[in-house]
Formats: sequence, C-alpha cells, structure tokens
Amino acid sequence: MSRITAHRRRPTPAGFAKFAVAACCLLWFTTACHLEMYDQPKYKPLQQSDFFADGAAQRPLVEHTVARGATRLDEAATGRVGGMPEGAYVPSNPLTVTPELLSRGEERFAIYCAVCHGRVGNGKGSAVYPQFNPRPASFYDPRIVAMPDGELFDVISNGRRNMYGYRSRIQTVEDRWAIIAYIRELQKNPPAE
Amino acid sequence: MAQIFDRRANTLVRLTLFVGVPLVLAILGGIWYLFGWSDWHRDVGVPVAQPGGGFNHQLHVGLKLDCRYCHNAVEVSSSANVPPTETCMGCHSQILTQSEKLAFVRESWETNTPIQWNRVHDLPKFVYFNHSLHVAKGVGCSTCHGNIAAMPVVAKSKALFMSWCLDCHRNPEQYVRPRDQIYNTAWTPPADQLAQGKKLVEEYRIRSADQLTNCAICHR
Repeated sequence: MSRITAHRRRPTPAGFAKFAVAACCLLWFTTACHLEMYDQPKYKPLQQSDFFADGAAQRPLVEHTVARGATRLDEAATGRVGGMPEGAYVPSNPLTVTPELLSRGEERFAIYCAVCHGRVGNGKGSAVYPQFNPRPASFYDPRIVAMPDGELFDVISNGRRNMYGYRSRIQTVEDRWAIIAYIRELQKNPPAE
Repeated sequence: MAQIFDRRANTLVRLTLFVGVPLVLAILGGIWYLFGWSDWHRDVGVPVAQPGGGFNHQLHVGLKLDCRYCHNAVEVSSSANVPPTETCMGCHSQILTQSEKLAFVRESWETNTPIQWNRVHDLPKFVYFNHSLHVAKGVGCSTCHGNIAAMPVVAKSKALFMSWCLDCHRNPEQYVRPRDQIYNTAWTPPADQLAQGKKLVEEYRIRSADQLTNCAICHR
C-alpha cells in the first residue's frame, strides 16, 4: 500500500500541461471516420442490394398473391357488376358523388390525366406529341360519353390501346372513381371548339 | 564545451510550445470546421452522374408534368419514390422509341431489371425523414430540393445539415406555404411570409418547436 503511494509521481503543473497538449493532439484522431451509424446494414426504400439478382432491395409481390385482408370483390374495387372479375361493367359510379369527391377527382385528374387528355378533357394535353398514335381521346367523344363508368374504371386501371394502366400510380380505387366522377362532370359542359 | 543554444532559446521553445503549436492547431481546426460546414464539402450544386445522362427534369416539368405524376407515393409514403420503368415507357413506348439515349430504359423494360439511378439526397440511415408528412404540413418540394424544374441534371441545392433541419423545426412559419403551392417548384415566399406562415402553422396544426426538436422526431 505505502509502496505504491511512494512510487506514484505527483502531478506537476508542467506535467499536466504536457498531458493536455498530448491529449488535444490525440483528440484530432477521434474525429476521423464514424460511418457505422450513417451506413447501417439495413435497406432504405429503393436501395441497391447485392443479394438479389436484379440488384433491387425492394422485392416485387409474388405473382397471384394478395395481402391478407386486402381482397376486395365489391363493385367499387373491380368496376364490374357484383364485383365479379368477368362481369359486365357497372353502369354508374358506385361511390356517392360529393363535392369533396369531385374536388379530389379534379386534383387527381390534373396530375395524371391532364398531361395527355388536357385540363378540359379535349384530348389536347401539354405532353401530347404527334407520335402518339392513336391520339389521346377527347372525353366529349360520343364513344366515351356512352361508356359505362365501369369501363372507364377499367381503362384507368389497366390501360387501353397505347395508354398504360394507372393502377400503380392512382393506387386507391376511390381516387379512380373520383376522377371518373370529375370526367362525367366535365362532359356536362363541353368546351366550345 | 560552448553551449549550443543561447539563453534566449528557452523563450523560443516556450513560445513555440505554448503559442505556436496551439495557433497552428487552431488554424487547422478552423479550416477543418469550416470545411465540414461548407456546401462545397456536401457537393451542393454538383450534378450527380446518372444512367443515360440523367432524367431531364427541366424538359419534363416543362411539359406540365406534376411532380406526383412520377413521384406518386410522395403523399402517402415516407419515400418519394423514383418511378418504375413502366412510368417512363408510358410515353417512351411512343416517343423517341429508337433514341440511343433511352436505350437503357428500353433494356430495363425488356429485361424487367430496375434502372440503377444514383441517389442525390442521401440521408444517413439514422434519419427517418417522411415525405408524406412534410408535404401534408405545408413544406413544398423546393424548400429542400430547390427549383428542380430548372435543373436539366439534378443536384443538391441544400447541404442537408441537421442544423438546417432544425432551423425549420424550430420556426416552421419561415417556410410553410399554402397547400396549392406545395408542388410549385418556382414558389417564392411572399413579403409577409412570417405572418402568413404563422397562420398556416396553426391551420396545419404543426407541433410546437419543443416537440419538433425532440430527438425521436427524426431519430429512432
């Protein structure tokens, strides 16, 4: 006990100063790379993965699978009478058309439809190129006015001719019906040519 | 034997040790500090190389495509998704179908392999940023991403420092905008932004600075 005390050097002010300078110099190195938390071994959306052959960390759904509880076989989900996949198109919007639904439809229409079909629905959108063949349809075309709402739903969801389906972008069926309600509203007042 | 060092050398050594060395360290530390906080260090304004020369936002937004036409999940998901190749092909199955520049898009479509874009805004993994929440609470795209509509090749316009996040989390009224201006990338704050912002903060029911600066708001 006493031996240890006897051999311990008492700190002197000069010794402390030296220690402080040395410690400060060493602190320099503690600021180096600390990337472990920045780059954790987990995936964020759309990140690359070396594990899967296609290089994507996000995996597509296994084909022909439906998430538990996500099965919807009503008319609003399929656009078909009785909700049957092969049934006839429902003639009219299964949702109640309210001002809220229409304004939602107007907003979604402006985002997804207007670029080709035009803000007024005349088929003269801002992104229409001459190469589009056939040209985007005008909603005032009697063919489209006569379409049952369920068919419009099918076109929006799955596409038709050279128009791709918007199922993946307009994800909720309620939004698609809102757009249909808005198109019907547009058709009541055809613009002057 | 004659002394090598003069008596004055003692002073010189002390000066070097106690003034010179700390001074040099302070200068180096200062440079280090300024470098760390510089936009330059965070590659602000440096276009990121992308496949095919990159998606030209200027051109496509010029066609009046809404941000959400491609980044459709921004309102419902934490991630403002980069669109699948299907979105590109919706138009490019008809326009520029033989373009050399778009060969990688067609290849991705034909082989069902995702296009490997390079991330421009890369947050650390311990940051949980939620796009849907921010656009719902009045933070527009351009507040963080700059005027993307004017960028042929996307570059960061903000260094994304945590202090910058906190600036808004402490005083959101400086930045929030009306709902119909969220996706207007050319939006500039009105002259009475603070007054307007205070109203919007109330309308959007944005939480107090005390709650918004809680660590767990962004880190968990």
